[in-house]
Amino acid sequence: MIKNNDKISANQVSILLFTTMVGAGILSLPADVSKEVGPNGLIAVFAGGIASLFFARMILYLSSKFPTETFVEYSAKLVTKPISILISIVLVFYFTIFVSLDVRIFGEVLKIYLLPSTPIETIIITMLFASAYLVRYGLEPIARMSEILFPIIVIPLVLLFLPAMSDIDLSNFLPFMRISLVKFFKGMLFTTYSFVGFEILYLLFPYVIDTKRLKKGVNAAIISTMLFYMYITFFVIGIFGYKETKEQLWPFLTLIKSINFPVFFIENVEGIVMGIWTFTIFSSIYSFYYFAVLTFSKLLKTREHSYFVLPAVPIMYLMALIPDSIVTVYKYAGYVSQYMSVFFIAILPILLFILLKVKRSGDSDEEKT
Amino acid sequence: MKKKLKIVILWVLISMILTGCWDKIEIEDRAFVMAIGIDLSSSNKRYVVTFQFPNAAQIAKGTSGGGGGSEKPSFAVSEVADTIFSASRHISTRIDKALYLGHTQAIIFGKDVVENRDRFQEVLDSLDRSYELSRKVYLLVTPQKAQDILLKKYEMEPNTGAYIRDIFKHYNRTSIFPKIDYNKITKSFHETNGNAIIPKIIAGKNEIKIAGSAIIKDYKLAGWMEDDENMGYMWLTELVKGGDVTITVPGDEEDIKVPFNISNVIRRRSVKEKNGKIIYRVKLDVEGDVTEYTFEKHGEMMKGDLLNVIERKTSDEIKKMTQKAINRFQKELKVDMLGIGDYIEKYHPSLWEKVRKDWGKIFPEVEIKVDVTSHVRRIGLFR
Repeated sequence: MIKNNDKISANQVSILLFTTMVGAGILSLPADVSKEVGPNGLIAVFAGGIASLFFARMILYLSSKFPTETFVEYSAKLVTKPISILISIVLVFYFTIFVSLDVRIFGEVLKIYLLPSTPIETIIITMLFASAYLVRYGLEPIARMSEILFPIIVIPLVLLFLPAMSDIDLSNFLPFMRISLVKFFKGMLFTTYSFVGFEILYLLFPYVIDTKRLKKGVNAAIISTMLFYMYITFFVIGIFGYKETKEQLWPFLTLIKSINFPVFFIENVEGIVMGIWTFTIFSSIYSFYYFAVLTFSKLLKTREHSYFVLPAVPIMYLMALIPDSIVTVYKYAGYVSQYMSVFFIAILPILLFILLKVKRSGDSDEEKT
Repeated sequence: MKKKLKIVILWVLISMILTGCWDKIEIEDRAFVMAIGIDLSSSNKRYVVTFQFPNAAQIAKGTSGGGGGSEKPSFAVSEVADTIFSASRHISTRIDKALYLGHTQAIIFGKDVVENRDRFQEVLDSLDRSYELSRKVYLLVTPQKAQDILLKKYEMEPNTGAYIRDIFKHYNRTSIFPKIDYNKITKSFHETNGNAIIPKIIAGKNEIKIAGSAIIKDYKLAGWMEDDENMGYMWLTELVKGGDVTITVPGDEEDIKVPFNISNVIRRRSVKEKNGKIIYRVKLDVEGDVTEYTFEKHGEMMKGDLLNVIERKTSDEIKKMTQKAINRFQKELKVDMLGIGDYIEKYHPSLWEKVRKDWGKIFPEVEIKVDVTSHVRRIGLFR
């Protein structure tokens, strides 16, 4: 078998990041933020985006110090081997959880809105096999897939909301910032579930051709994700007001139900949006899937990641079916994003950064003596 | 041999995948519900739910040229059930189609539903949770039974749901009922914890009429608003987009009734606190045209201060209407439907901190001042 050139460009990284981050979180993000920060949801999303950008750049900086190694290898140099193995195992587990959560939410939404009598197991397994098929071929085809899906996701979603512009009541964003800072930070924390995905930067660096342009690519990806989320939050809170938004399960989908197309022969656009959203979630599922498998293969030091792709399907499938109901799904998602994500997004990079600096200064000391 | 086996297995697998969609329902097997009526039942079950849907087969025939003839253009079926959802399910034991609620245009509540706080909350929740119902549905309350409205066939448009939707389309010709759909009503329920205005519908012998509205206070019917009050309410909440005000101008022998056709309204608000009393000021800028005067006075429009008189009278008339609505809400019902609390919360948050806790007590004490200025922009084709 000829191994294809598994390297991608910085532009592709940028698009891959966007499609990974925009996933299931988009459905519930406005409800999550308005629960904590009320009418200041937009500002919370903005702040969450800026914080994500900061940490993403930090992760990028860390991995750029070890340009030929992935997280599994360079973390061993910073935090002794056993701890590094432990963290890597957790990372594999973490990516796997995201695949199963996303695929479960996808199944639930699709079952409710489009396929009421199709068993959810069928929806989940179809999605997993489709992703597995793509993941087997490696990073470059994945990045290309994201490039194809990106315009299909963004353009229709941005256009679809425009007719709702006239229903927006700008006073819904008032009063401006009259909440305690603690609550504001809590609201920011709730945005993490939607911004999760840039952790793939831990592993991505050795696979990028033009690493010099990577900084720009990461900036572009995270800022455009943030703008996209702000766009949707703006419409949701602007139309429903935060008091109603916070009580909804999926305000994004409820918003679709209340869009009035003035001169349009289609009355309900839910079907169209469901189709687009399927791409959105597919793109985050395959990305998490790939990086779960990649981390695992790096742990075992195998040459190819593709051996583990198919065996992962039943594991992810069973994990997706663990939660009893949609309520428990979101409870687990809350746990994962508030504990594990915060660890991988914020605590771990800071920790590694400090260790790196200490090690560096230690090294230079040795050179002197 | 092995190759053949492989092909056979592949065929079997493919045929399993390609069988098509589990959820396929042919369009003629669906009943596209256009209107739903909800009443309380007097039997041991809780609700009587009525679904009205057009006869799809007949519509298809109509468009293809062969007249439908004797076939019914629309159906309505009622079902007694304990919940709205189970009604929509149980009804499938009686009709040959699958109900689809995604295209519902109107939901009518009988008076008894709205009068019962618990039942009404159950109904509202079932609408909120529904996956199928659109949020552009119009909600209506009828003083009669909803069933009676939906079981009738109206000559003008036998498809009652579409009939209601079309009436709402030209609401701006009168402004005597609020054009608020489910989206706005449920928002109001969420924000004020149980207060909202819902348009009123009544059925005549051969037609329906939407005029006035029901006032819901704390998830319960608190009263009805008639045309004048309703318009006054709509002035104060900036819902008026058109309509007419009739004023009386003294003529030579008899008073002349002059219609003032509203074309635009701008509302400005402000809140002040003076000696512990809250003063809420509303300024209305009304624009419109005069479309009738009297024949013998042709040429007088351009002269003198006739236009000023008309403008002044219009302002007075509008002020009177708003006063009626204010009296109703502030003095009688003591319920803040005028959006004053909402306004203070958004634009004067520090004042809101002070009054939020007992807003229910403070609201009746608020001084509401309305200033109206009207401008005649056009006078028709004669001077």
